[in-house]
Amino acid sequence: MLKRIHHIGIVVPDLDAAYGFWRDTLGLPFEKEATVVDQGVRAALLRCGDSEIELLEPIDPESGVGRFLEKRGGGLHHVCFETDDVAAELEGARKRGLSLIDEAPRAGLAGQICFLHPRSCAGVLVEYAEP
Amino acid sequence: MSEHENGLRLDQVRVAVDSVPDAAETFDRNLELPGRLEAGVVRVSIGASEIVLEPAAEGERAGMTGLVLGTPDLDALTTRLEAAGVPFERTADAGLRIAGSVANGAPLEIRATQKT
Repeated sequence: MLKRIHHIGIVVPDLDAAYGFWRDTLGLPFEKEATVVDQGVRAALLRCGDSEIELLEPIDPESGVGRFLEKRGGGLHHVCFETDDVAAELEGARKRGLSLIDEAPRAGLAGQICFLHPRSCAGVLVEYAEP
Repeated sequence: MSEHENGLRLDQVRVAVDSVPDAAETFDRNLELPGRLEAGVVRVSIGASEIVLEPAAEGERAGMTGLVLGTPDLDALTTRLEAAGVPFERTADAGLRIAGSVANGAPLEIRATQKT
């Protein structure tokens, strides 16, 4: 069961510069930052009520986030839904015939995560996360 | 709250779609997130937020198009935006609109909410 929007992923060209708007001007509280090498990003989570804003700066231009930045110049990238059991959600998605980006859960900034392809989600890149 | 924390919350995620009925069916069937039709858009509630599926404008790409945030102190936030030199517009419902070019490609609307 999907419980809430865990975060909205936003691709930025420069994470430190993005802090200036999202954290320092809007006032969204900083939660955590990490470099996720296998996703090719430096990422930060900022609290926004019951959800979070995830800022993603690509460190690898060949990563999905890097290609998104190159193609679109950044912007709204994905929506992440929180679940208590990401493996069960992924299996459910597989049984419903959805196009999957990840065949198994993996570690991400938001916990154990997986991505579903936008073609199965009305054009939206969807992530499931089990914090 | 910290000095700068202002109670902002994520109220809405706006999604442009080619067909609202088809997108609503996709959200229901594939994501198990049913919605309700209201005035030509479908609202999908999840947690304290909602996803709004609305028709894409001509030439608009399907996908997320903007976020609506709520704040219990819109005046204070307005003052801070002005102090920081962040450009914004007033909306018809007395909220603020910040262009995507200012917000890392994520167009924002910010509305006043009840203090909790």
